[in-house]
Amino acid sequence: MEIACVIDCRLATPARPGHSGGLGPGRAELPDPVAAAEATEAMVRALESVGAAVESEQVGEAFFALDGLGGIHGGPAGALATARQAVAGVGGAGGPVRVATGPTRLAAFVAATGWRRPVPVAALERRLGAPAPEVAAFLEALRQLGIETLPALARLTADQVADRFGRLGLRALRLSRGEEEPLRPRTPHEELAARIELPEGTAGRQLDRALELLVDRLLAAPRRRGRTLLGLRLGALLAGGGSWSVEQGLGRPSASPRVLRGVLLPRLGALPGPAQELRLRALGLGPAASDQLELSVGGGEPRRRKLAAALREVRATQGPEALLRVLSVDSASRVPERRAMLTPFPEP
Amino acid sequence: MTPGLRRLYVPRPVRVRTGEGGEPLEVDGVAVEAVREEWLVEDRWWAPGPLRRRYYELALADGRALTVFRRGDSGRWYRQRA
Amino acid sequence: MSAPYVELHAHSAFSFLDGASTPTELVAAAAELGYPALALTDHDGLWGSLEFAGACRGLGVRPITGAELTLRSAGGDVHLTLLVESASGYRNLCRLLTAAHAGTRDGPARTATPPAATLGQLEEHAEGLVCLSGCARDGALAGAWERGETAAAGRLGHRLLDAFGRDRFRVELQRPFWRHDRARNRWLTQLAGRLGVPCAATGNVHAHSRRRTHLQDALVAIRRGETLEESEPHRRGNRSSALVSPAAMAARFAEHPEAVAETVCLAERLRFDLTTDLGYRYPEEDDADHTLAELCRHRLIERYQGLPSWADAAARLDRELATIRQLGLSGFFLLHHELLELAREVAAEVRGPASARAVLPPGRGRGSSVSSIVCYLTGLSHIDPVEAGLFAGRFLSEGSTSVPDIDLDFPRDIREALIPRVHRTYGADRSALVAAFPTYRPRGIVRDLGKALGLPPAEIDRVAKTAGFHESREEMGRDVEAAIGAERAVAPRWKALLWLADDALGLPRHASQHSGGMVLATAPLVEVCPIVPAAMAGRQIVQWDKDSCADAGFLKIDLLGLGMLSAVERCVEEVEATRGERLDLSRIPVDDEATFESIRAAETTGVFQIESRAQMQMLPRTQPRDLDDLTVQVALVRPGPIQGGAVHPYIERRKRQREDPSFEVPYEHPLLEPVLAETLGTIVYQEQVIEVAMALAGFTPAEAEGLRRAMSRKRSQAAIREHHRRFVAGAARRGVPEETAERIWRQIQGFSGFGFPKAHSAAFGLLAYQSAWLRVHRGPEFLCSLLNEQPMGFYPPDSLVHEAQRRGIRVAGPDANRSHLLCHVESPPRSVEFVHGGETNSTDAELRVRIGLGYVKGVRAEEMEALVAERQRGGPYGGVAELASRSGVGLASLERLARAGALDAIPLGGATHEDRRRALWGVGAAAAGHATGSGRQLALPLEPPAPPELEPLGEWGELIADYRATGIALGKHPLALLRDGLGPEVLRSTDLERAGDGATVEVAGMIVARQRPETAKGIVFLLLEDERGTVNLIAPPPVYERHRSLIRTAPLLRARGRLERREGTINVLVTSVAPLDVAQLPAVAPAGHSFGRRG
Repeated sequence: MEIACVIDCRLATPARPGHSGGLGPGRAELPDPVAAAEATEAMVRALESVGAAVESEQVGEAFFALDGLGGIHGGPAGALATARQAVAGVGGAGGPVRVATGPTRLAAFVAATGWRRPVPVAALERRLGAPAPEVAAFLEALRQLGIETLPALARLTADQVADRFGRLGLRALRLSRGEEEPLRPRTPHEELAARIELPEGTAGRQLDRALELLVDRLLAAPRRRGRTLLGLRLGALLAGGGSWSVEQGLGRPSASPRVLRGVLLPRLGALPGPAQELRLRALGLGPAASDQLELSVGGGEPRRRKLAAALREVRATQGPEALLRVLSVDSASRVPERRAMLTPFPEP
Repeated sequence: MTPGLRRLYVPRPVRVRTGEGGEPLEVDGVAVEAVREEWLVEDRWWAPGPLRRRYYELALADGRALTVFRRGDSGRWYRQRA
Repeated sequence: MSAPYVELHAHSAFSFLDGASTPTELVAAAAELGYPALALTDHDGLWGSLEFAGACRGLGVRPITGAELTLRSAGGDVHLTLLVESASGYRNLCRLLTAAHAGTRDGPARTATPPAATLGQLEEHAEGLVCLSGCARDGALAGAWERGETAAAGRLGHRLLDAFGRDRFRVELQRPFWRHDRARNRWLTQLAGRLGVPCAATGNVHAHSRRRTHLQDALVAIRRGETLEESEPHRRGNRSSALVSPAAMAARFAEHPEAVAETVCLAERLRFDLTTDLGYRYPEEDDADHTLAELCRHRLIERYQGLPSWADAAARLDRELATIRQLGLSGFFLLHHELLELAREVAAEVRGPASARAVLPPGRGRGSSVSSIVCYLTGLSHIDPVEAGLFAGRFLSEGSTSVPDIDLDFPRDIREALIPRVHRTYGADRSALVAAFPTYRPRGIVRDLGKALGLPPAEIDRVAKTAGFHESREEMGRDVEAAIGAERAVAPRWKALLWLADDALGLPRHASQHSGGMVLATAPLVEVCPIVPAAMAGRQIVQWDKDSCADAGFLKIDLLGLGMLSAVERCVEEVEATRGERLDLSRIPVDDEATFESIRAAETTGVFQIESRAQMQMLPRTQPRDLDDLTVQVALVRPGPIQGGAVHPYIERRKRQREDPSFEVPYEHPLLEPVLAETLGTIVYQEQVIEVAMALAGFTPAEAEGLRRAMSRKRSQAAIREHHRRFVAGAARRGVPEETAERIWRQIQGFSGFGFPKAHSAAFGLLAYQSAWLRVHRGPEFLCSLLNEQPMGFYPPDSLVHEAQRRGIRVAGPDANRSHLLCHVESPPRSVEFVHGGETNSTDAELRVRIGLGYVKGVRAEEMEALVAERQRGGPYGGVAELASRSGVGLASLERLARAGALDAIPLGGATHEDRRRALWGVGAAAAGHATGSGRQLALPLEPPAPPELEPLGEWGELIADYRATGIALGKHPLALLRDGLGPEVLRSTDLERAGDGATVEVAGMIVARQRPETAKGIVFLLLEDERGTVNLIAPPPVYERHRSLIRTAPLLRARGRLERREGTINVLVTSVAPLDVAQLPAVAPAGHSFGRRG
């Protein structure tokens, strides 16, 4: 079985021998995480659009089985060509995206990134499936022991490796010997995202209101169709230049604004500077939830239904822009027009 | 700007006649009865488009209370709910 | 007074992170704007008040002393403006401020909490002070109005009125051009009417110019840890915090003319002058003269009886005691004697009475005190002034007006214990350390301003890392461009950062303690200057720095910790431990030829004060032959003699003297011969400036002292001009031609007071000699002690080791079965006999220096101590698991030891492999099952199985591992390994001996030290080390500019240039440099020392 690997070279290429490249698991400060995440998303969707069942668990890379695709596009060669064409547009001209194949993910990845033999152990970095610091420590330990290539690692016995490195070492040993688990493609999901621009840079606590609004808007998007969210990516464009983003998993799928606000508001504290735009994207959608209508109005069910009906009626008669909500941005500012903004009231 | 987002308290241009010291005497044809407060806002000097405004809280002859300001760069007058 | 208004509320940069201008800037602006008087009211402190008062007097503005006090009231912390009217008011203010700071270090880890006084404390100390009710936002009354607490404000107003009385309490009006100014001021005026007191108008000035208000905004943001946007509500919001003319201020308060007039009335009354009315007296006892005389005579007998110098010494003592009596300084000397006795007690506690170091005196005096026999007899100095021919005239003369300055050097460990002991002995209100005000530096400024301006953290980091220790704005601009690219560098926020940085560089950032200056007083010190707790426990500081303390005439003693003293003491201990010999350094011969030969050959690596590049360049040319020569040598390489133009003439004349015994030293004028004979007609010692002024221009001692002080401070341009005028006039009266007088004045100006006094140099010269002697005769122990005393000195440990190895001293790496925590000297088994104090070269060959386990980076001292203790108790370790379980060392440290090669001799799987990788494997295997990266103890005593065959590290790998682990490469030098790849055109350091002067050469090596002295006009000096020795590189400014980043940061370089030979020294004048990149090595090689200001 052949596996195809698609990588975005800006994000997943080894920079120098011995280094694993731009982004690996747990690299601290991604240069532009929002752009990186969106570029990967675009790549994956392009592949899904031609029928590939894609596994993409890390930024900058995607894997799929050629067989599945081959059926649709006339054999492995045709499948490969189709896939190449699908991702050709991603990332602009000059194609930072590369496609290659191999019997395992690791082999395909090595082929795509162009590492020459003997392949260094650093190539294992993304495949070990452990927290970043552990992986880094493990690879460093190998390097210090002079075990620098996959063949060198493969020469050790399972006993020696287990003794010395435990489970992580055994996994690395198996990988270096060509043993891997099957692919785990994701279910394609549509774009579910919202963003909000802010005047001239807003910071810290002033953003709390904007974040609440963003959550409301995301949940109100028609595309959600009542499904719960599995995770979120919160990002910002910074006023001083650059961007920032964090990912937040939800312990259990939820579509409750209170829950989402509860997990996201603390993350805002890590914003390194004033932001001029906030973005929120859903990562994965779960099954529909039954009880989600949690408007901040509170109160009992009948009241909520009445409010929802009233809002719909106003919108219907006056137009969608008629109902507005005041968003307080910087209420203490000496410049009056910075204090608040009007935003559309969210769909109940 | 994200669709649907609008600022509040946007300043609007206004015609002002001033006295010798630069203080407002008449706003859009209505006489100024008293200058209640006068203050300065000078900010955002680190960004393109620094702010320099001299604000006045006025009592007009027709009984209205009005806040106006004069921009430091253009010298133009505006009124604003503040 | 013709001005309609006086500013009574102004903040300088000594309102830390709030005021944006120095006191001098404020005063200069005030003078220009026509203010007759000005008050300085910094937050809770008088940090800059004396500097302010001095600047005022210089510019004809009357200084008013005051402070803005934080008061803790029921409603929170509020501000009051306090101004000093009388001397008792000043005393009260000092006590009040001390009380406000009293509990500010009681929190965890002694982090500072904001100071505040209570209303009760204020009421107790109100006499002699005028109180204004405070600023618009936080003032006691106005602030309450802002918050709507008008009733509370009224009550507080009454209490303040009761405390200060109608005569000394005023309601303060401000006009910050905020929205509700008029309403607030109306209410305040009404309240004042009800209280029956006048109003006074103030400006709450925070900057001396409009442009500086922007920096003030940034400082507020920095203080709050926020961006400028976030901190908007707390900033002023406009530029009204700048100082403006009295007329403009009067216009600002057009509705309150009486409040404006009141400022003039108040200013008339507030006549207390800090420069003249300070009441300080230093401690002394009643019978001081008698006590001192007894003590000295007793000691005289001990030291000199039976020696030929007895009569001379006795006569000197009598003369000195008479002078001391006449100057009223007996108490002063007794005080120092007491301090030394205290130090002796402390030393015995710290070192233990039985140690070899007990023979060494606990501290050493320097400064001109060393020329006094009274100082020698009371233990203040360790140089016999009669023997050494030093004359007390410079230290103590009949005309002396100021208290002598005495510096005491102690080994670091003793000093740490001595300072809190002094506090305890003399009392908390009579002793305190001197403050120091660290100023903003480029790196810190980039980080703080960058954050306030909301710039991306990654960019800030890159720029901050390339910024040097001290830079001009153009240089910072280039750093920004180099770090983040030209496009980003023109972003408005980065441009703002650059001009803000320009304003901020050099402003005081916060208060901390000076390195060792201590002030002692009789009358409680706390009535003369506020005292605040220091960051370190057991210490407290006055609010003035050393310049202000000197201006105030405080008795200041410098208790300094000198690394070299510590090293010498350690060496003496090590010699005893290794050879069983008790060295008495005060008895070694001072004319040892071998020692002076090594000094003349500039073999002085590790020798205090004569090891720097500049010194080494000079020694072969000046060729010191005795301690006197060495004394000049030590003083010569300082900014004073360098900028005063003394160095080259001195070197030249030494040379001529050697070549031609009949050579006569040329003097600018015969009047100078007696003063400058010993330095061959050049000005080298600090007191020679005074002596030249006296001899050539007839200055009195007081005038000459004034000249010296004026020149050593940056604040006294006007004073210097006055002295210049007097100098030329005085010289003319003595028949000196004007041209000659001007030339000599320029030398004096160039010298500027940055030089050593002779006695100071003598003390250092002696220490340098003793160190050189130890280096020659007890080499291994000397190296060992230097390694244990790091950081200190000119060379990194790696270089010290390489140099010692080149001399044949053996150095061995850390070994878990042999090393101690510190480095020590290993001796062969005791079948060899030792010779006390004589030639020990044969023994040296068998000794070797063992690097201590403490040198392994990242291990904890306690762990290593436990390892050593357990080994000494239970025998050597037979395996890794045994080591781990017996000693309790955690996995992380074991790995570090393995990588350092410290486990090479520990058996693994039944055999020793002498292979670091296999040791590392073994350590990890012994920890199998435990989480990686934890420092937890390994409980299993089972030894792991034999490790697999692994790729050997190889020489290169070992080199990298050594640098990573200890910073010292003990095997081959990196250049030995790289040599083959370099080609024959790249010469070794020893090959340069054979190259001709002017030849083009190319060299390569590690950069061990970089210097860019301020006296050298942009030239950079680099010291390059290869496998055979070192090479001096000189990079002129154009070369530096072209290869800025390489020269500043690369640990390895190739350099091409022209060879320059001069009297035994070799330099390479660099024309180009190139990187010498080998994977990994640059990242781990020691970066070499980089020196900024120091020469």
